Amino acid sequence: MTDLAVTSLVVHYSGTPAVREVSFTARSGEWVTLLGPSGCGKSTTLSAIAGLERPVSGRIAAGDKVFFDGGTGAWLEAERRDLGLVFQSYALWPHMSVEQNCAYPLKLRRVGRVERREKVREALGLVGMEAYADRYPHQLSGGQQQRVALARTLVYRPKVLLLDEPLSNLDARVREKARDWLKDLQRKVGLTTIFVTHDQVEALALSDRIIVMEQGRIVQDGTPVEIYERPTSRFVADFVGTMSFVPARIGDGKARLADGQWLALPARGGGPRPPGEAVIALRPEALELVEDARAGLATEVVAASYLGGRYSHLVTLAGVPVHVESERAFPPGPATLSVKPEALLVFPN
Amino acid sequence: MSGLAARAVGVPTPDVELPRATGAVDRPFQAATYLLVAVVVLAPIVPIVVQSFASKPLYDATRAWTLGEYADLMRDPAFWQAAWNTLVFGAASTLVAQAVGVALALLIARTDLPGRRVLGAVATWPILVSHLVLAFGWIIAYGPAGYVTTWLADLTGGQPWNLYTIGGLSLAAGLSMAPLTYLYCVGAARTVDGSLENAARLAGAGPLRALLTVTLPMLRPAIVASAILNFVLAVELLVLPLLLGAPSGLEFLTTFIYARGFEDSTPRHGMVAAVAVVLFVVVTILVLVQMRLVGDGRRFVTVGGKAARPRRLGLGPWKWPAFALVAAFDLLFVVAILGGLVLRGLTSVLSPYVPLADALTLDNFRTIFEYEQYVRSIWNTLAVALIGGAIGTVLVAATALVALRSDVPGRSGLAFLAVYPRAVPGLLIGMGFLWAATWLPGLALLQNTIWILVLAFVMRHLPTGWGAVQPALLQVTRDHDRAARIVGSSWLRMAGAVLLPQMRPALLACFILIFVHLVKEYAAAVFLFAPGSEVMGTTMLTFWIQGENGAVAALATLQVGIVMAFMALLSFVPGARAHD
Repeated sequence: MTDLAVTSLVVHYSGTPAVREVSFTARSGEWVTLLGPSGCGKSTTLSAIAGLERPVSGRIAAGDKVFFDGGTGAWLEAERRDLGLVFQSYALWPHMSVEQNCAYPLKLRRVGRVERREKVREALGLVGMEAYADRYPHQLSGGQQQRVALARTLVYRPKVLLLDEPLSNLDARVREKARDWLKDLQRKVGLTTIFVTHDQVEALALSDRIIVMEQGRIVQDGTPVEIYERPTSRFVADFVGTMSFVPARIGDGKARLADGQWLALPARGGGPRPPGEAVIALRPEALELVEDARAGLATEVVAASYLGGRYSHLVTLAGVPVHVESERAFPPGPATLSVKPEALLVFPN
Repeated sequence: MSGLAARAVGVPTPDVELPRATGAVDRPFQAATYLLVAVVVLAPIVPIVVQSFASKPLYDATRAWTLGEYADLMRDPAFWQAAWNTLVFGAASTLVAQAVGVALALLIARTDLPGRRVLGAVATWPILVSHLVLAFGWIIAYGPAGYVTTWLADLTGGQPWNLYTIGGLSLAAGLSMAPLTYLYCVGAARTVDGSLENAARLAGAGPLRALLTVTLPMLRPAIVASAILNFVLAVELLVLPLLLGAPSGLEFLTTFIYARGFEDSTPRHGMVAAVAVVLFVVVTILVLVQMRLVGDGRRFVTVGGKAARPRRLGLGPWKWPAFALVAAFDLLFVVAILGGLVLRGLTSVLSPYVPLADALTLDNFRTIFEYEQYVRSIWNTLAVALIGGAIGTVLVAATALVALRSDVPGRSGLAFLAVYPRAVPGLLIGMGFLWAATWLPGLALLQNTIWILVLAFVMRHLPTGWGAVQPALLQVTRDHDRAARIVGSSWLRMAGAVLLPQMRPALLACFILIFVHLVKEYAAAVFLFAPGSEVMGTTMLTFWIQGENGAVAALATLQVGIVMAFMALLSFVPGARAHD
């Protein structure tokens, strides 16, 4: 079991900085997710860890093995790092059968024929693909290819498992299953895992820790619950989960909306809130549409759509669109919006 | 036609709904196209096959049917020697071409080789030059009196090598064919998903190992296809064996036919035809195998996904040795040969003993423009290429429309006819048309004019044109056909008003490619040219054998210039590929 430490990492991509001063440590057996929109530097960070991209400065080390050190100029080629990487495209070698794909890393490690066969069978068993050993990659579905790609990396027991959006090429239904299965597998093998994704649902469901990145920098590092419930910036709040933003003016423990209505703020939490212009961030689950006009804020229902079991409503609050979910459908027109003060967040504008 | 052929030439499966012929002239047009292509393609083949079973020349009414020619052939040790030489030469030259071409492709497409762009471009130059001209270049540089040979002999005090052996010949032919292998493989190597190599690196493979165990196997279809293509090329090659092999008495199947069918005062028609049929059968089988292999590449196609960032393999300490190797290939086997040819055209003598400045002269070019036969062969070449390019393009367009977009029964057979000439050696096309002239009504009138050359050349390069037009037509969605038919258009109007305009860039590319190939052509003309209808290729061959090296080099330079100018034009055609 190995810790992976990334310190002050800077990576340039065709001359421009793609990763700027990124530092984090993944502890032994921990699942750390790099989350962010495309171009935020998450994949470049992963490539640098894998040894496919040479950083400009900083340090990467797994346990006592130094992969890269800008200070000493140390650099370990990708093939000497003993890492497992599952590619977004799976990168199964199309001219080799499933078995040959899995046996290749073992051949490079000079594992004998009998032991090789045993280890390949074991790895394929782990991902439930023993029956497909003689197939070629093009004869497999996307989900099956993903499993083989995983078996191919697990077969040589790498120190750290790197996953580069391995779920994004799967259909929505398969993806959900694959997600649960992947988490289960990682627990079983107990590998330190670095997972790159732009899908916040995947990140929340799978991670021990999420690192949110924007423009090459880490903007927040925390557990899924912290990231979702206590985002430290408007960017994180917006990127993770559904969030509506309403401009307001803060003063005296209360917020005054643009249309003159007042909203009580929670006594504690929700971050610092100096008096002045701000935005209030509202999750759909902090909101409720109610009959009683005195129980909340006056709004106007614009549209409703059925989600199956519940309805999603688009309402306007103080001139701004806001998403609310309800058990029943409200017709377009005036309505009342109840806000749970403990679930709202305030960010300086 | 067989499903095999249909798949190879890109004919749609029959379950796709096809526009039916409805207009009054639809069927006649389609039938006429089919018939014309069939006549043009079969005209040189049928007489040869028939002749091989006849006891006397075809024009002799007293001939009888017999297998005697084949029996005689089987007993002729000269034939067996020629067949053996052909096999050895074909295998050796293909081996050389594949080894060099694949190495070039891997180094240039996938590594950080310095100057790879320029090195790669130079390596493809020989493709633009006919084998006839390449043979001259080889002799000028590396022949017994070649300038490189003489220079080295002077330095070392002994003849460094002998080009006029089967080894020298195979090396020369192999290195001349290597650019074709390179082109086939470099395209494939560029499309190999970089993440496959990265996956190998992560799994523990070093850069060279990743290249050899992952990238190289991915090129297998391209390697096999180009190997067969090169072997076919070597087997049907006339000029290198003739110029390099004949001086030391080496005989090959093509030179066997050339000597007994063309040079002999009393040609042995039956025997020559029998050899030709043997050659047909071998080449046809190889071409069919190649078509099948090209059509079956699914195992080598990777599943989609974001293409990995192209990351070149770092050669590390091998960087400069690799550069030296590739640069040496370019210098020794491209620049030295083509450069030597151009220099020979510009000098009275090309030798390390004579300072270049003393030998420089324009006399060779003057000679060309003073002798009527040289001038005539230039004009004839241009006329044949222009007329042939135009006729060929029209024929290819009509063939493509009928074979790919009509409901004519047996249309996949038409598509097969359009690619089949690839399996017929150029020398035999000429011989076949010569014999057909005594057979086919009207063809005798064309004999000894440039028109029979036009016919033979167009037949030979029909597959080239097809290769330019067929993919373009396949890209036009069939919805256009259906839409035109629904608004009431006949098949012919639909084809003319909807499909042809969309094929315009492809047709232009088709014309330029056929033009260029016709300028380079010589093999198909050997049996057909007559005083007055010489082309550059035949003139060069005749005068070279007479020892007029300077003037021939100048003429070859001119030919290369014409070809390069037209290939430059091709780069302005959108979507056109310079190499088929």
